[in-house]
Amino acid sequence: MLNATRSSAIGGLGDVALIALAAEGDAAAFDLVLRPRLDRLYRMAVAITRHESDARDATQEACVLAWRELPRLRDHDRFDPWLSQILVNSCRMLLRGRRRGAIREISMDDPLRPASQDKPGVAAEADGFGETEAIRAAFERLDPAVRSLLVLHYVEGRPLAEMAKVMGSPVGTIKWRLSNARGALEKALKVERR
Amino acid sequence: MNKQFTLTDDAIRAALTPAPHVQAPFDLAASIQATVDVTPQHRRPRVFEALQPRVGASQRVLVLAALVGLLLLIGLLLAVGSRRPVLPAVVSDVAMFHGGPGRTGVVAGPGPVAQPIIAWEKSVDGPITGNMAAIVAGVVYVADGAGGVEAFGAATGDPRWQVSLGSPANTSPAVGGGLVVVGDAAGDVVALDIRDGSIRWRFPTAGEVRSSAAIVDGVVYVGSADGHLYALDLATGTKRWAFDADGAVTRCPAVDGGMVYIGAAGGSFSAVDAATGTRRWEKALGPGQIASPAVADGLVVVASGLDDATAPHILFAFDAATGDARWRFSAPSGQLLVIGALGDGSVFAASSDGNVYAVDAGTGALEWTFDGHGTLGSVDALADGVLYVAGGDRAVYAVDGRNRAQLWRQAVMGQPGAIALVGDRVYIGTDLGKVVAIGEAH
Repeated sequence: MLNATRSSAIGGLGDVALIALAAEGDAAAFDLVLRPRLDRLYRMAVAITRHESDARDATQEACVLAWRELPRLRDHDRFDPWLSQILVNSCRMLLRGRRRGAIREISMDDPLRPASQDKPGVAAEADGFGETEAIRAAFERLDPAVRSLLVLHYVEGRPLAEMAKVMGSPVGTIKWRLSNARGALEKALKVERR
Repeated sequence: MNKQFTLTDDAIRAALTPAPHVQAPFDLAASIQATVDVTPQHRRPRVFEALQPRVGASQRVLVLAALVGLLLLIGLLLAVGSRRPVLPAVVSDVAMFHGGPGRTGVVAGPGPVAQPIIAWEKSVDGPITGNMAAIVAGVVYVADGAGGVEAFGAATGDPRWQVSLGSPANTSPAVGGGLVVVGDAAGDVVALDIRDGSIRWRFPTAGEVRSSAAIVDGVVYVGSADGHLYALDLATGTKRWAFDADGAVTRCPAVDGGMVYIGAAGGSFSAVDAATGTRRWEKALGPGQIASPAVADGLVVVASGLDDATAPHILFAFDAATGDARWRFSAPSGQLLVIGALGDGSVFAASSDGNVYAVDAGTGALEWTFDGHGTLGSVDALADGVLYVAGGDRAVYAVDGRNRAQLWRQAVMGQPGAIALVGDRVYIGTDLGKVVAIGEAH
């Protein structure tokens, strides 16, 4: 109830002001900062982990960590890439801890089924021999760091400069690693096709 | 059937992008907020904030060095000047079902006594029904009905590792010697490395392992539905002995004073020499399955009549050394009883009639009754006179055993299994696959 009252009191403030308040320890402000970003964060986590409950855990983990560390973020304009960086790290940590046995089977009504399969016209050509399924299975073979790069580039459509901020590496390094990541996906895809 | 396929950007994008309707679960924001509300922020020490605008980096290093020197000096003076012995830190762990091999449920307190909140909540792959988490050195270990064994940081629920055994793991993990020991429906007793979940050994039995292991002095005691109680070497998993229990063993053994107490389907209840696996004494308490016993101070207490609606449901107390009968107790309703805790001179048992009964451990006389709200829950922990009860109404209760006052009730997502209490937090798994930490707001 206290949070609800507080939320209505600060609801009119802009993003920058809310982030500043959250950094000062205002949990209601942090809630207002987070809510419009939550779907995007969760979808990114789903794309990286390929598992909804993992995505939930990684998103929660990342948001709580962001709250804890927010007072140490000097440049509040960097909040979004910083939050994405925390989420990517949470996904990577979670995936490293996981030792799932067999590759998870995904049923036809699985919510993780990619958007293309809801629109047969878009992917039917590429998907004639289950290539979409094969790409996803190949993706699940990849190292968490490689997965993160591919998701940031292909799913999130982040420019290289922003990816560099999220991954904490120079642009040139990101370009090189992205090329390697794509190569790793192609290699894993060949294994899937055998 | 190898059609030539070129991996295009569009194909990767289409494959990896989640469906449009994938959105954050409706309760995620609230769940995050609940955790945020009890999570302090990391702040730079005020001394740096105060110094920052006025002094340079080199001056800050000097100030830091001076502070470190001062702290070292204080530490040295304390070490030299004090004649008081250094007391070991109080470590309160729940290494196995009901706290320890005696299964008394008595744990170090104080637990949460004021209305708590959900500190964190995590999802696992399968339901956790009736089993208890183990908490050792700040890590929570759970096993689930989908075959997953998971480790989470106790403070924030940060995931440490997860493994899949490939078969439902419906036991409470037991932790000892750097290993987490669980059983699975395929009949294996499995030991995993506490650090990363890697499997160190497997011991196959001929029946499902639902019995939660007890670990004492480098030996794992665990039952199997194949009708045996096994003693296994903790380090290697090699069998030391197997005891024929005269029926499927699906509940936990209790260990105390060099004896292992175990019940079996059909009603046989045995005291077994922990070193040799030979029977010391036996009681026929059938029909029905025998519950997990609790043993302390020369008294072993056990409930009969599980898994059989027609069987009488009786709480028995025996002399732990000789098996001589001390007393017996039935709920006024005659319904099922399950022992939760043995301590403070009482036996606390939950009944399927919805009540929790406190029975005098010396005489078996009914001391008091508490309405446990609905179907059978369980009493799992006793700390500083307070009972922690998993209610039958998707909630956890704290009840002051001295005046029967309900201290608090906390609703959780799903029906809670057995409660593990460590410090000022209780940890539970639920049948909806949630691991929940409940603690006082600070």
